[in-house]
Amino acid sequence: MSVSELFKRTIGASGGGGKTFGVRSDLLERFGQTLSRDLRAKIGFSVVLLFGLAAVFAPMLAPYDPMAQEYGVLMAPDLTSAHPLGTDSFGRDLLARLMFGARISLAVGLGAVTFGAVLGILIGLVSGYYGGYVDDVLMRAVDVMWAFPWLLIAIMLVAIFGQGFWNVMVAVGFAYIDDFARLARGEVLSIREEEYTMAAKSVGLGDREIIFEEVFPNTVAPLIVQFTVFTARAILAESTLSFLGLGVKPTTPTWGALLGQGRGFITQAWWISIVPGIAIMVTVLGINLFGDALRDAFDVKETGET
Amino acid sequence: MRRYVAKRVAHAAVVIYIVATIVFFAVRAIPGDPARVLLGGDASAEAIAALREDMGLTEPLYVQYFRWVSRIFQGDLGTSVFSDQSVLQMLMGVAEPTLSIAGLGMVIALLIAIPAGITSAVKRYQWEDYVATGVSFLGISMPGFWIGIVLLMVFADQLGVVPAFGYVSFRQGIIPWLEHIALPALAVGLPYGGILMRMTRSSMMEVLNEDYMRTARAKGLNGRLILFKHGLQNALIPIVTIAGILLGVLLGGVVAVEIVFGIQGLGRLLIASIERRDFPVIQGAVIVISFVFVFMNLFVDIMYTSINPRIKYGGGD
Amino acid sequence: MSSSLPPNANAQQESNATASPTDGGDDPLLVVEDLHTTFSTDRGEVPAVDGVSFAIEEGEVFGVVGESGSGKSVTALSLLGLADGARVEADRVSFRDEDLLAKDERGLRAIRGNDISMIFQDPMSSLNPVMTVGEQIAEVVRHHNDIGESRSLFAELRRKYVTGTSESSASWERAVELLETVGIPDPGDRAHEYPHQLSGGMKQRVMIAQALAGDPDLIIADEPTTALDVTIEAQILNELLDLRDEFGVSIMLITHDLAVVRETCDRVAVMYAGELMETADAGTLFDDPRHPYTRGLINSIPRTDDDREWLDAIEGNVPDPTAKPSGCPFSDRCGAAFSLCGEPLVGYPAGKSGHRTWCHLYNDAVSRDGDEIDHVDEMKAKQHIEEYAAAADGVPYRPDFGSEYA
Repeated sequence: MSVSELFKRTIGASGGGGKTFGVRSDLLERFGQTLSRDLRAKIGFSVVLLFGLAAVFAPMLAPYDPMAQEYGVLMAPDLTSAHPLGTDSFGRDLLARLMFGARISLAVGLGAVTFGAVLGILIGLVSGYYGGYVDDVLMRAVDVMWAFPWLLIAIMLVAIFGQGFWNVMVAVGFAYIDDFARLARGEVLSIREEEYTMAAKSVGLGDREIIFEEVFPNTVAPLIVQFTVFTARAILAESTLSFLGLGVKPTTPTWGALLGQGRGFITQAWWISIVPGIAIMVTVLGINLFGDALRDAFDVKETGET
Repeated sequence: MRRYVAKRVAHAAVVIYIVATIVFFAVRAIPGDPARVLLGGDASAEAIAALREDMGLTEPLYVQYFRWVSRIFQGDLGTSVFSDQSVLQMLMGVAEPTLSIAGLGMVIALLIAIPAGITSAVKRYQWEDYVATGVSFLGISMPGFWIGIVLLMVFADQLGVVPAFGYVSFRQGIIPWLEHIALPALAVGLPYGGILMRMTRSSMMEVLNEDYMRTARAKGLNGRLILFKHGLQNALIPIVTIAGILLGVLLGGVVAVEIVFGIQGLGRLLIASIERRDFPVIQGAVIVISFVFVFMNLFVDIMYTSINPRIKYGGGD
Repeated sequence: MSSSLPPNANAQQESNATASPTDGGDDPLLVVEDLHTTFSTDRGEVPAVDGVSFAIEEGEVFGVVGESGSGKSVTALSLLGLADGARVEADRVSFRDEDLLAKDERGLRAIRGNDISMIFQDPMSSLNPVMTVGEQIAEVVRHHNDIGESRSLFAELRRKYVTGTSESSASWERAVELLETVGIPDPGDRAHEYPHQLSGGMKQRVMIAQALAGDPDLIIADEPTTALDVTIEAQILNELLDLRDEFGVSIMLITHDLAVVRETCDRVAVMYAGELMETADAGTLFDDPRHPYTRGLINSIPRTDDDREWLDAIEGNVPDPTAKPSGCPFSDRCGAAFSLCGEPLVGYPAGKSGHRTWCHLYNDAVSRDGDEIDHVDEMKAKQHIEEYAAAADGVPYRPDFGSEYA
């Protein structure tokens, strides 16, 4: 399969390879198989790819400068001629703004979850593997994080550190640290007593080798599923922040911000807020479909955290 | 049982205390001087200094902290810098619409999710399942505030069946109250319901495969009895936990939905206070929201022990 | 789907008018003739039960023995329409004078738990974790006896979620009585406990009490002791035998353990890959096992007088059910395999009545010394096989059985 080959090549370097005691050598294969067989995965992946490409090549593909104002066509509903998706209240082309908006929304979404995943998985691995005192302290910290509803964390962080791409990314991603930590810890606890971990220990591997070469690779499947599902949620979260005016920057076109700007004009120009909403919905739906297919492929149980 | 609850309450109190402390220092880290914000750009330096003195901002941070903590224990969340009102009173004033929306949203979510999830599991891979799963997928893929905008457009703007903006207290009549919160509650409830429906489906499917369900059939019981007497409670056990975890999603949704519907709630107050650097209100709002969140989850945990006889009360975590 | 039979399915099986293998005058309690249970999977049709015939007499303990995957559990589930997703076909499945094949789900429900009840392998997972054991027994009492307690959905749900089952209700009292019958101490208190509060052996006793609650004529016990400690195993088996003596209930005991069969059963059917290999009285089976597979099984039991250095294990594995060898499914593992093994299997009767062996070694046209073949008259042998197989023809075939429960 060409798609699975592609994935093997891109991901293979970090996650692949048969470990002596590991049991996950079939993971990448299943990943590729899912992509080539499962309809949900195909649809989801295509949608994400489409939006991803539109975002990456927006400067080349966009029909207009997203900031260019054209006072002749304020809130143009014209779905045929010069502005295929119409214009906003300043006469800016919505399609162009949507494509540039995709850059922020997708990048923040992916970046936020990556941030949350890296920190969370580290905490979870260490906590689960060492147990005892370390586990107690780390898990209490995670408990406290969990007591903040995600939007509060994000609002506070943006208020403290100010708006901006990286700040919003961290603000959104912060909320996922505790979920990743719990999941990783749970996986480690169930794997720690497995025979291959015992085997690794009995041949004298050190703690760090065992965590990163034996335990972590075996927690990968549920973490990938969680990562996918959370990316969808992070895009929703970013759009909420932007909508509230706490996103990247009020003037930057992002999906949530477009939506927020259109809100005041629903009666005159409904498409200004409906079109970005549909873009969010289709993207998130695509990621969710893909995640669902992966969940089935990796046989990961659906829990509240994922 | 009582020991278990006491232990959990103590645990929750500690969490809230830590949250409050973090919030206190975090809020002080927000750039911008509240005195300057309050007096406007062209205020004189003396006036700002006087106000800072007045607001207690000149004292060392730890003094401010201890004063603040001791007040909190007396139930005093401070006074708004902006409006001179007591924070507690301000929060009480806006809590009703927020809680109404969240509460009705939760009810809507559960009313949709549980029957749909069960139907979906029982009729798996038939059209009922595909419809329910498809709708829930849509639900979890739309931002709540956008659902709100669409609902507003269709039901308030075009059809005119409900009012578009504002909030009316239930004390002024249940019907007007419901009319005003119906759309916001739907907007927060649908995404939440989508997640819960998927959980119910997978949980029920697992239960349907359990040995005890086969035992129930071998006993000659009829299908509905097996489903509702033997299956339902087992399927709901994980759902209760998840419903609690997802409260954060619901609360986050309410904030944005309040903005869409122009409702003066907790979320709106919080956003406005951040813009005005109104420290006491921000602190108070965050503490109250965390408080509600933690205690709702505590309540959910206690419910969990009552529907799952396998949990022993003394055990704790 | 089920309108046509595989071309050799009828011929493959011996199923004749003498399905009742004992010479008692009464009709057997349960008669099964040529039962086929087939699962459709991605990998093709899986014939989990492939033409099985047997009969169970009143008050007898009938053992069905075989390795895991031999189709013994599926056989039991098929009888009650509980083999989910399977296509069940048979020439005849009759219980007393009732035709189980003709019953719809509703009709079967009246049989399940009432006339035929089941005990499952794992009592930990087979009891509902969120219901008291008393209620789990009491509901069977209510549903299969007219004791004037409402059994509507509403009444049952109210009982479960609101009021609980009244201690003075007839069903609860009967449940406590049954717990006492199966040897649970303090049955009045124990009835209020949840399954997780009981030990494994206790739970299996609860399962037995539950199986007794509808006053059944037949209890199907599917590996009732496999999940239990050896010490508990004997207690549970004795309990079952006592109940047979006390209430005259018949027991179909499904097990992989020949030692259990020797201790408890009156008659035995040996199954392999969904087909019968040998049926006989328990005594006969152990004294004079004729099928090479049965002999293999018996030789693999450890004995106290053992001077063998190794137990005699049967080489190889149960065949993939989607790709069984034609003719005898055991032929590829059998030390005595010979030229006729690819022919359709038929059951050859032995000296003692009811002793029957599905192995072509016992074809009259085969002259042999033990398992050593001297000479095979192929023509004559095949003629014999056809004669035996012909006895199965002319029996009405019911293609739809089971589809309505799928």
